[in-house]
Amino acid sequence: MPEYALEMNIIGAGDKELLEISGKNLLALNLEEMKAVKKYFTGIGRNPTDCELETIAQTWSEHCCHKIFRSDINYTEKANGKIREEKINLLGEIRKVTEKLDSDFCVSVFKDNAGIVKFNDEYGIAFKVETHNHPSALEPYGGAGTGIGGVIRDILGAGRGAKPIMNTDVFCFGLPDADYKRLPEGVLHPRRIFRGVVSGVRDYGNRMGIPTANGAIVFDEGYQKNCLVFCGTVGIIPLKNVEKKVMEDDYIVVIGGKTGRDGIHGATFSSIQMDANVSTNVVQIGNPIVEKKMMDVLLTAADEGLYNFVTDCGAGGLSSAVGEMGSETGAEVMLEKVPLKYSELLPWEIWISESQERMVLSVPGKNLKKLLELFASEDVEAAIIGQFKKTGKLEIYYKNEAVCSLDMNFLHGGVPLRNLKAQFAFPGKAEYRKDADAKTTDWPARIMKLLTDINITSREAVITQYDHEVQAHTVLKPLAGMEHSGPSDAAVLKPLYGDYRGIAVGCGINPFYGRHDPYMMAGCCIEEALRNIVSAGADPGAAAILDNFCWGDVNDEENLGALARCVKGCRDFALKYKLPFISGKDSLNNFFVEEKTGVETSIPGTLLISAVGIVGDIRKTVSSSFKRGGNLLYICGKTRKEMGGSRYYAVFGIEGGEVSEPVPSKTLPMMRKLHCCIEVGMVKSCHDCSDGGFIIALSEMAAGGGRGAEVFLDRMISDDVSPEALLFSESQGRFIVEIDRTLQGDFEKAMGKNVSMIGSVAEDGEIKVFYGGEKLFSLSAEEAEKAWRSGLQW
Amino acid sequence: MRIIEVRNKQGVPDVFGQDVRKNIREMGISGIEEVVASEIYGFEDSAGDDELRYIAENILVDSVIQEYCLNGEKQSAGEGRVVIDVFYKKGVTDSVADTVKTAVKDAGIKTDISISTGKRYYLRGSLTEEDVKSVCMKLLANPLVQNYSIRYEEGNKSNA
Amino acid sequence: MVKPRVLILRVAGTNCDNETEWAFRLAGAEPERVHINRIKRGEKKICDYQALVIPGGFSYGDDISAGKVLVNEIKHNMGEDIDRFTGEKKPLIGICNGFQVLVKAGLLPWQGKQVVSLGWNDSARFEDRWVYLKTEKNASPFLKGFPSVIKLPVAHAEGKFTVDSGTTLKKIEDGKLVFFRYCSPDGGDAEYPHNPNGSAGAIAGLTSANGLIVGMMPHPERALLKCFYPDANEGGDGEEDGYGCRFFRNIVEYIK
Repeated sequence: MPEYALEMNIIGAGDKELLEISGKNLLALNLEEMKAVKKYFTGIGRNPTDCELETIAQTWSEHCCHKIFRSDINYTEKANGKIREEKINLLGEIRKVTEKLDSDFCVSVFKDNAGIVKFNDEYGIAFKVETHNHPSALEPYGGAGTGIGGVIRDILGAGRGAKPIMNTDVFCFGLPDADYKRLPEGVLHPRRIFRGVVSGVRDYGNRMGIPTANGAIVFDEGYQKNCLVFCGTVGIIPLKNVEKKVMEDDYIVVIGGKTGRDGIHGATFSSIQMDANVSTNVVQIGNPIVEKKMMDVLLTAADEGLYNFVTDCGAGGLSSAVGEMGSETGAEVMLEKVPLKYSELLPWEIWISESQERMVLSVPGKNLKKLLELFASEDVEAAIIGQFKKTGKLEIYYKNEAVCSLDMNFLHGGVPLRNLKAQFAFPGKAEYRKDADAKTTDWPARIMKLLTDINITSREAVITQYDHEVQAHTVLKPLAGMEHSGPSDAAVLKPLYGDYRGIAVGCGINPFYGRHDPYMMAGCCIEEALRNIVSAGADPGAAAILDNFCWGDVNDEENLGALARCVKGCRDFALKYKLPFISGKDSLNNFFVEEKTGVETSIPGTLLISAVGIVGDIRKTVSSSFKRGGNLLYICGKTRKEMGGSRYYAVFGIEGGEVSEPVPSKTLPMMRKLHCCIEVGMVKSCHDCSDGGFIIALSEMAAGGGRGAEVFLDRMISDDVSPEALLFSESQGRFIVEIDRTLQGDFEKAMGKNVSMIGSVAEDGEIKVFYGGEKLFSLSAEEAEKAWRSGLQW
Repeated sequence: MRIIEVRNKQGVPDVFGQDVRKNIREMGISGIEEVVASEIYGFEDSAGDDELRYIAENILVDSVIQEYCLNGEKQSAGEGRVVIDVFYKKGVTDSVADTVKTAVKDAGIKTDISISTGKRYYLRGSLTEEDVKSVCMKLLANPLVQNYSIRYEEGNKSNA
Repeated sequence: MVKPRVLILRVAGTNCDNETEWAFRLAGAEPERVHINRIKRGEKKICDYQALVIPGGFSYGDDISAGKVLVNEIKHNMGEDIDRFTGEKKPLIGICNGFQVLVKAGLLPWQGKQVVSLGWNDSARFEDRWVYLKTEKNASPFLKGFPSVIKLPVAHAEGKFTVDSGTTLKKIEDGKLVFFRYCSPDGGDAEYPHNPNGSAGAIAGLTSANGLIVGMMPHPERALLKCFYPDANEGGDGEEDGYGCRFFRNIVEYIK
């Protein structure tokens, strides 16, 4: 009679009972999957234990195995009355890019906890971005903190251990002025989520001693019920430590935090009886110091080569970590050896618990003593819980009783994938507003209003709360100058103390374009991420990107269709910009069902593209603020009337319009030339045009430098569009560049037809804009700075 | 449970209290006049009063800016405020509590103490019971991970 | 020539130890990052070093209050050794979290009971920003060659310099124990954000009377090279080696 494991009657169960078992035990397995489980156990002639079913449920969960992204989709696209059908595989499309580009820059892609690219002959750069949306919506402080804690462990678990050197954070929140009384039951106020999430990232990231130096915040009504929290970490790793392999007979060692009943069944409620005094385990509060202590010794152990393999213990807990590590050998685990926070845990709970700050190592016997001593010397928990054995099986014991024995092949290859259907129809073009060109002459008022717009205004109140300089690597900081008066496009780091080689990290996110067309949104996000790092000095030819998709209810064929179209955009534009994807993650089913009404709201389909690129010499990095009166100003790239989804239309309530379409065939060659000019030190300042268009970019440069400018709109490269579009259109592929007057000839020769000289920097602090031979308006840099810095209250 | 409360000395600005007050105003509760915030450390009965005082004076209090009181002593009575205590639920990571335990050990105290840490807020103003509950639920505590308790100092109910 | 040895103390939550080590290496010393457990176990002795540095970070998470738990640990394990160390006129430096430790341990402004503290910033939150600092006239050899105003970054939540009484502040001023003071860009009086935390007397750092125990909130180890200055790119005046570097060189110069 087994004492610690419960037999689950699967073999004798019909379809109805199978679904009941899945539902009652919160396994979240569908009928097809339950049938696959039944078939396997019928084949081996016995019923599964509770621990086995839980292990399968974890391994096969959407969170762990990304079934939607791995499934084949029949995709239908309707445009201009024509219907096009296509079979696509989302993950396949993304990977195709990297395979086709086959770049030497990529060291390890899509197989480890993070993507790794080449930094120099000795080191690689690891980068991973994760989401932690649901926990952050329920408990913003704890959810965001454990989000950043988790992605840091992904970097520590990349290769045989990368050293985290930077964090990135991107958030999407509801509008902060939402009415407290009108929020549905169970939804926290956006302001509370905003403060909680920022505080959580601040307290965890700062205590870990990792600079948080790049990010973005998007505010939109659509995120009121489901906020998005993207946490990224960049690490540096000796190239010789990239490869890792579990060896037969290695010991399984769990390190860091102790195991409790935390996060069992992820975001659903636990089946364990709870009273009002005990946490529901759904959400966790992290303990950064436990992770910091673990990181310190783990990196020492990595330097000394004491282990063969390391991975994070995240979603699915030990079940996922050990299950994956042992997938090619087999593993034997003694659950009673796992250090616990308290004693009353059941074996399967220990096995799938998601307690924070834990990692798993594969340690050869000869290093075991040294490794355990090292961890003990700094008071870090390390316990041997089993061994990798060449059995091809996952065998788990609790006090000598077998509680689980599964074939690795079935566990990792047995999940039945579905055939999905998806459709996308272009929204009928909104009636184009004939009088869209404003008659207004009060441009300064419009510009000031845009500068204070919640999606454009300075994030100083947030950025300054992050320690963005710890480790003394941060060269280009998120805000410009001593007084934080302007924005930076990207963060530039100098990861090695004795070397001027650096990296630039930037991102692109714009759900507003996605409402018009997810395909163009993908292109714009990719280009923006690239523009950001290029304008800070990165080489567009030595850059890579990461994708993070956050989508609504993908059981809905239209939502899934929009996602598929977005993925197609990622594929096409990444290929054209020659940017390999090195890692990615999807978080699907971000929707909220109101209890009273049953009304379902999905988030706006959201894509975050993060980019990392190499800066050959960080002393050549340029910031975005104006440097000297009299210097010449150039615009690179063409302005079209592309104002659909623009901040200008949003702020002034104008519907419709064309969404911006990137033109990689023109933009990429121009970026390469611009990069050469930056590299030789020709460029004094550089800023890309994005949210709010040309005039907002120009105002930010003026604010940052405390200097004005004289610009002639007619000189901008354009299809003869109105001043309104010249000022506010969000056409891609544009930079504003400041050049010393003496270098005019050199710069124009280097850039060719891509640029036009539009004016000059003015020491007097006035931004004067001319059009058609007349002064259109002027605006002081100081007022622009004040406006830009006033829109976001903490 | 016995409670050591650590608060700022007279004349040292209570920046957290001011912050909470601002947030309560933002919620549309304009009756709030003043908020005072302090740290609370709850001890199970294993430690004696002398030990608790030793812990307070040597480990918990920064004598230049803070003072402490044990079990509500030195409380000026009848100020008519709402007192809200917020503690983590059992099973939720309470890292400060773990740190206090380490510090107690460093200080040579052998007793095995059981401790939880939290925050106390004193709210003054004309607040309805509904206001107070709303402040607890929407601002000061998250019922998923924290418990809160509401207590009225004498003389309060009148202006509710 | 043998390089002077500098001990950089590490505990759970220390996080500026690597860059501090690099700073001393650049300055010509032989720095070593040592975990406090090794000192407690007797594997390392501070008397074998020429300078002792408590670097920035969040020792024990800054739980209870910044540096408090480490103060307790140091007092109970290394108190006498530190008194002997400073008695031999060896430099003891505390940066950020280290400064918080030095004042709470009663090692600054003079050795005895704690008379000053570093409380929560007036803004009630952690802030990372660059500030202007006036270099004060005092006995410390570590300010040699500094101009009257320099720039360094601060990054802390608890940095508001607070005294137990007006008498203490007067004694600090009269005794010329101020190391750095927050100031405006032209060296005048500082208001927020130039005084980033509301410090009394805008005091950003202290020195002992003999100038050898020094604590400060700003991070000189983050300003070792010109490229780290936020205005380096704006035609700012940071020298190729930032003033942070000069501070560490002055220490090494002294102990050589």
